[in-house]
Amino acid sequence: MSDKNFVSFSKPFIDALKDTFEMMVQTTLKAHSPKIKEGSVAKGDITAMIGMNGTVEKEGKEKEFKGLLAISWPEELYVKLASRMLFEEYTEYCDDISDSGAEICNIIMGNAKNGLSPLGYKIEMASPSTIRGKQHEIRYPPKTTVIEIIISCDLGDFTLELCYQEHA
Amino acid sequence: MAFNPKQKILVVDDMSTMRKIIKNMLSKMGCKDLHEADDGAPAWKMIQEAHEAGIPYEFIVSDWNMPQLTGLDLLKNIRSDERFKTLPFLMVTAEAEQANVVIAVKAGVSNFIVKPFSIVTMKEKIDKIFP
Repeated sequence: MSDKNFVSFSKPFIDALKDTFEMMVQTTLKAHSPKIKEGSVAKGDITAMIGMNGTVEKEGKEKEFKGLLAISWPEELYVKLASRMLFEEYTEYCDDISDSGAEICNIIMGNAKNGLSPLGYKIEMASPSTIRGKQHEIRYPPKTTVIEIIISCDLGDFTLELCYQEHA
Repeated sequence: MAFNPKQKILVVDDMSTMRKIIKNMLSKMGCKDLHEADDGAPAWKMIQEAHEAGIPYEFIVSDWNMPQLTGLDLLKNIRSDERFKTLPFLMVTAEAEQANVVIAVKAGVSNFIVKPFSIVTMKEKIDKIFP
């Protein structure tokens, strides 16, 4: 994927992330410059992710694609953001907040899907999932380049990851 | 009929986080009689049983995408039953697709809210259902 294509593909995800955090976590986000991720180890302790596949129409040709959206948080930050989202005070990770990250991914993907529609993308969303643990690995679709973007907010920094691969 | 926070409300979503968010937003609006279901199928059973017991639900807030019975199918079940023709129903969805809105309106939805949303938006949507 060219830099220009990546910018147009990633923008709806970043916009949706910002909107979601502004409305549901009551904070504004700053997205830092994207860079290519090396390896598959998550930057955070808790990673929520959601797969996608579908078709994209470019220059009159339809291509299939697959990808993944992942958001990885340090555990302390995750607990704080879940507390704000749920209007309850949590001091540690527990079952009550175990699917908060997955729900965030779900919302972002749903909104990004709409943002990508005018660009020719037709996306099928998978169900979101969550991995927790130090130095856990993320299983990306094979042969995909992973782009990571550090996101800052008043609660701290976390990482948005996007990977995408077109195939004939 | 203005919104009465004393109403018996059922919140339906397969994600526990979203059920909590909606319930806590409604709590902040003064609602106390809040119940929840994790899919459209148990929700439909609860709605019928509550009506038969004489303590019916007065307002339903439901997610669209759920694994067993979707919010749309729950809405269709409700509207196809004479007892629930006018039961207020707020649909929650992650996708702002125009097609979805049209389908839900045709099925008799009372109002529609797209995730993400704030408590202010939630209140505005409810106020439009209960002017």
